[in-house]
Amino acid sequence: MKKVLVIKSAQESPWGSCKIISPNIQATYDLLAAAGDIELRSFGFYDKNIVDGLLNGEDNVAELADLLQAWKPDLVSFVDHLPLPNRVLNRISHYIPVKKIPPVLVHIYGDFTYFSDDWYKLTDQFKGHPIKFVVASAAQRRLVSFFLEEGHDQNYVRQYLFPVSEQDYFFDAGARDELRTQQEIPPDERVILYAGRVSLQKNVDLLIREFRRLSDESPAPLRLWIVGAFDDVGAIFMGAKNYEGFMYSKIQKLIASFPPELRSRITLWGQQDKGTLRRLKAAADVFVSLSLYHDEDYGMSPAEALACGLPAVLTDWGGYGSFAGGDWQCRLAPVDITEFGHRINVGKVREHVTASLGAKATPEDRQRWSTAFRTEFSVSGSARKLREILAEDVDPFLGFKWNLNYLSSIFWKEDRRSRFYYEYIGQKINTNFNPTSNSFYHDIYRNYISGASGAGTNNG
Amino acid sequence: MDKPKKKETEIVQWSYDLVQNAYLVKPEDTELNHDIYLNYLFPFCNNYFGPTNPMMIFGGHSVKDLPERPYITVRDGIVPLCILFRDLKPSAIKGQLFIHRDLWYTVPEDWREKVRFFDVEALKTYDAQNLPKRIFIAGALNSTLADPLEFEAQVKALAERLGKENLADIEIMAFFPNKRTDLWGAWEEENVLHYSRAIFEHLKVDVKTPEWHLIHSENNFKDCLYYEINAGTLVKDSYLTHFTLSRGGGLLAPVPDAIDAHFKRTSSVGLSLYHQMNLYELDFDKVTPYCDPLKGENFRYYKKLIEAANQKKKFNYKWEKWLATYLKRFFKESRHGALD
Repeated sequence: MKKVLVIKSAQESPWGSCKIISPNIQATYDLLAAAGDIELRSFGFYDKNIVDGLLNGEDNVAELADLLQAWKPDLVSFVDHLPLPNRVLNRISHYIPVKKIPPVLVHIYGDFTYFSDDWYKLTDQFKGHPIKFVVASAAQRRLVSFFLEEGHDQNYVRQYLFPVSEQDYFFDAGARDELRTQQEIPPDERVILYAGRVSLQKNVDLLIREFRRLSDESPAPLRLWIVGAFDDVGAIFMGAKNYEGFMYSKIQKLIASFPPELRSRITLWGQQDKGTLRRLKAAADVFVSLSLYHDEDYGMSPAEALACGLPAVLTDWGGYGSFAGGDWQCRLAPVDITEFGHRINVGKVREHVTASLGAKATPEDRQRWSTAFRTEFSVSGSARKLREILAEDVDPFLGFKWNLNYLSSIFWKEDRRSRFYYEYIGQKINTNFNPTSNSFYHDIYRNYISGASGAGTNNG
Repeated sequence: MDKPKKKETEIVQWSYDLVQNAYLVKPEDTELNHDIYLNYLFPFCNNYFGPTNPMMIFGGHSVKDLPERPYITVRDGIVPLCILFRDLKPSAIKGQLFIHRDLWYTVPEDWREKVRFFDVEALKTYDAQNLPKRIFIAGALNSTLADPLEFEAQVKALAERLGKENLADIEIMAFFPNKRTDLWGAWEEENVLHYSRAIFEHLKVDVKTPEWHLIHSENNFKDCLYYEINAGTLVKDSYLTHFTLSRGGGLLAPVPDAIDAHFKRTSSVGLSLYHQMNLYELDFDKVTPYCDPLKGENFRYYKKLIEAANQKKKFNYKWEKWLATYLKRFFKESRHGALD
């Protein structure tokens, strides 16, 4: 039986979705261990500078090195996005020669591009070492592979999704009726739901504008529920960080421009706990996200919506592409990258939303779609896939290409320069990394477009 | 007539949002003093965005076309505000200035037409009858934001408002960056002990002290009371207030004041789902006559600055001179004639 040492963070992630993803991945490992597929131990890595991390701070790497030497695992698996594996492995190498470090498996998150500086450094010390990268979607596999040196097998980067908790997300027919009654929603009224951060690259403003167009066309009255905290992360790769409160002002200004009756049909729910989220997803009729987020490697929120049997209309972007095509309801709207910026086929968005709402799903339909999705995407449903990946041999890592170093120089320069950067200097566009065709951005992020929506992908 | 055809595609270009967030600019010839000043007030002076153009007049950068804007919200504290009123003619600004309501008494007579007032209101408020689950208490360990004695009085006041016996069950998180450079000229190492003792004695010993990056990555302050110890000497409208309230935090329930009757609320501006900025006009005829704070006895902070300047003239004179001359960059007129 393979001995697997899971390294997780001893601290809670500052990133909302990672607070959900990491425990769910760990739950899958636990499930495999309980079934006798692997022998499992886990280690909570503590790093005082876990986020800033510019200098090595206080950590418990000596303890980890002792455990590695005493227990001798066959595989070391990193299941959190932080601490960064490169930093941990580097520190372990102060105690154990690299050759004696067991094969490594890394679950890569969406912040791969953001932490490109750290990932690039992996090449120096660990070229030739057995390392397996596991990503959550086909899009992220294309993106990470884009940065790998020639010579890696085409299946070198493996795909294993971020599982959804079946205890937390399922179709709750009772909650649907209860919440709709409480919110005084007549049976013929349809609810469009967006759940996730209200952030610049999530394009919630575009969704609100499309809601207006849909309301003009729809025979049934529509509502729009927006659930999630506002954030002002902006588009950091291009040097655009919003000031605190910008997104709220932007969305409020847009809604204020609508006629009062339409305004009353838009509800901003703010951040909600998972119980309320499940109820909202049960009560809604379609989930829509027009995100073009640069870290959209998976899409935990749409996955949870689909687990609740909710039909989804998503942009063909990043991990969203992985949700199309099963025995549930997920439609993709085409996206491409033009010389003027991203282009979303909003006509298709409206068409898909109209089709999703027109189908008038029964509770039985919702239950069936939920079951089908959860069979594949839940902790227990996805365990088989993880078992296969863990059983495989680990090929040597041949290094990252120069272009990852170039990407790291962009992020380093524009975002991580200093905590005072935006307060002092203000906003400056990084012209080398704007979302336009024939740019470095395009070279990287064309990998986020699957083409499964049936449109040209402008993959050039 | 046919209806206009619906748009089939939309271009998303975030550069336009970046432009809107770029209204604060830093002059290329900025002095080192700006960096020192901002470092000193970080993170309380950090920028936030709002419909009323909030800005720090002395924040090291300026709003584009500042004198032309219809309104500006001045976040600065008493000292910079007094220097602004002292050294600028009202005609230097075309629009209206919003200043914090607590600073109403700093407005000279010739500025009264131009000045309106604001305060920040949280949707959620707390007191002994409605306790929070968590308290986030913040300030800076230096006598510019609060003297040790003032600091202790503020901490004690918080304990009294909530009931000391209730604090055992409330989680307390504190953030007090240690700003060793003291604009008043004197920093005493033992102050750290004075401040710490006040927190432990009047609140409790079990206080969490996370680092800034962890606080800044926190996105949920639900059921949390934000309490800032800040005399408002240099920055009155603090970034941390908006940061915390935007994420669901609340404030202490306001205590009615006699001056309230003379303020007329004219409108409110939402700043997040959980807090708003209220805008007011003040009936100046019904309040205490204006007394020049730069000369008067009632303005203790400015007086303190002057007193400190007399003792350590070089250091403090530099700051006052800098604050005053800084205005020259952005305003064409001053009380002393054309500035440029």
